[in-house]
Amino acid sequence: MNRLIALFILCTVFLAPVATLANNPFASGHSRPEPSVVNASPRFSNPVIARMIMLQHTLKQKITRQVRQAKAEKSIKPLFALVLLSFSYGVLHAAGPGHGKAVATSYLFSRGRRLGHGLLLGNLIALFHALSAVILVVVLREILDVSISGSLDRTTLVMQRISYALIAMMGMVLLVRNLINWRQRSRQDNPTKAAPKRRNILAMAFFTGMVPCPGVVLIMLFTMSMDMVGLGMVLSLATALGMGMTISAVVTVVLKGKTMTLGILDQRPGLAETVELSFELAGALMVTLLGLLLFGALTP
Amino acid sequence: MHYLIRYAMTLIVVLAAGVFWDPGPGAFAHPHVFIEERVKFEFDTKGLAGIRMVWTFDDMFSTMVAEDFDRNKNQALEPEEVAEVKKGMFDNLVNYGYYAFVKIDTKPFEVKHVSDFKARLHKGVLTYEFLIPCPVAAAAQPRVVTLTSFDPDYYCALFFAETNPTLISGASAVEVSASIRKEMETSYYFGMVNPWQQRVSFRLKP
Repeated sequence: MNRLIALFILCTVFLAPVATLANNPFASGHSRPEPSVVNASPRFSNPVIARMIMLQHTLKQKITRQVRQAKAEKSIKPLFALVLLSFSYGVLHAAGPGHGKAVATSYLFSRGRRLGHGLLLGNLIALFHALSAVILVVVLREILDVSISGSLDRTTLVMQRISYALIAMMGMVLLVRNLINWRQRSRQDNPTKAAPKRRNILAMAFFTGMVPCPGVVLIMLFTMSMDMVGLGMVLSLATALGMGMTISAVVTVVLKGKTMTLGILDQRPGLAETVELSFELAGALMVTLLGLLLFGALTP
Repeated sequence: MHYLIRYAMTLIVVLAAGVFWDPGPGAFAHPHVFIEERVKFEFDTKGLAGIRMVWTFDDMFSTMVAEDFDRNKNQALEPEEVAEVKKGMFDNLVNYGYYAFVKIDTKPFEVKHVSDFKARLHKGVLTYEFLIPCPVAAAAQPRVVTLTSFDPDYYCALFFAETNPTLISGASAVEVSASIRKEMETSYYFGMVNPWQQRVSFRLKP
């Protein structure tokens, strides 16, 4: 039974589709990059997805309504509701493809076992994702005073390029380190386990989360248009916490799959070690591939 | 020998990953723009003349456009501002067929140009209106025109309004029946979402 669970979790990891941010089709200069996939027959029609998307819409509309009410009444009464709405939006928003779940999962696969790492990495990615958006809006709107709808895509594209390149490079570093580790461990009698240092987790979180979150951009834009930038930041934080919860939940589940698998092999340390090294190598490879594929999928 | 087994195992794990993993071209996070749609089928004495689309955007996107295009900040769009909106935030949709997939008697009709663009900002909500010229002559036998509206890239989520999603006008010479259905034979977003379709069937009044 344990094996089935472990196998299921591992398969789910690799089923998570890789996603890239599309460019704004409304703004000039963007054309559809390739023929879009419109499947002739649904592979696995999923009404849940459509409902989750519409729920995000409902949450966003509730947020705007409450913000308007807060401004009109000059009261902070809706604040609690707004924080809750933003948090929920974050939870839902990060559940869709993207948001660094695949990268984070692969990274932790390549190093480390402690479930605490999953929580840390997941939340840091979300925080950077939101912070990037807040900074972007403040800079574009207040400092540079340029059109948001036009600049947003250009800036996001640049950030994506940098992010995916850094992810790919990190992946290659991990790959080399794990290969060296493998050779060293096969020679030693008492091998030391590879564990990610906190600053490496921070770096990975930054590389993955540096692309601004469009959801937070829109929240900031809306609140700033109402001259409520402070509220915008509070709601952005709430959204980040929501996203962090989802990302770290997914990452933790997958990490659990890894530890469970290795736990099953407790009685066979030789095989366990081989499997663990394979996981770590595969994880490093996945990080590299994800970075390269995401980079490659970007429109020029 | 030991090494070979190790490398083989790594290969198996990596291959397993490749088998299950499906990035898909143009794959993407999820929609950030939400458009509530109403469709007006406009008839004349000959039959269907065109399909008028009315788009109501969500508040946040509306604000983003208002911030950039409502230059005089009067919470409304003057003709010059509307022209800018059309140029900066609409014309490019021609590359996406204006998200309208039209079929006349099951044959696809490509939407290459639209006319009569209107943009309106009211109480913070942005609406677009535009006409898809689509002449279809009515006959004794019913003709069927279907409109499926969606963004295959799912940057925008389009959905028909709950109230009055379909409007018929000018149908004095024809009998029209309209319906809405989920187009299960089409899917997007990793095959997980099906678009909705509006269907009109019309024929000359006997």
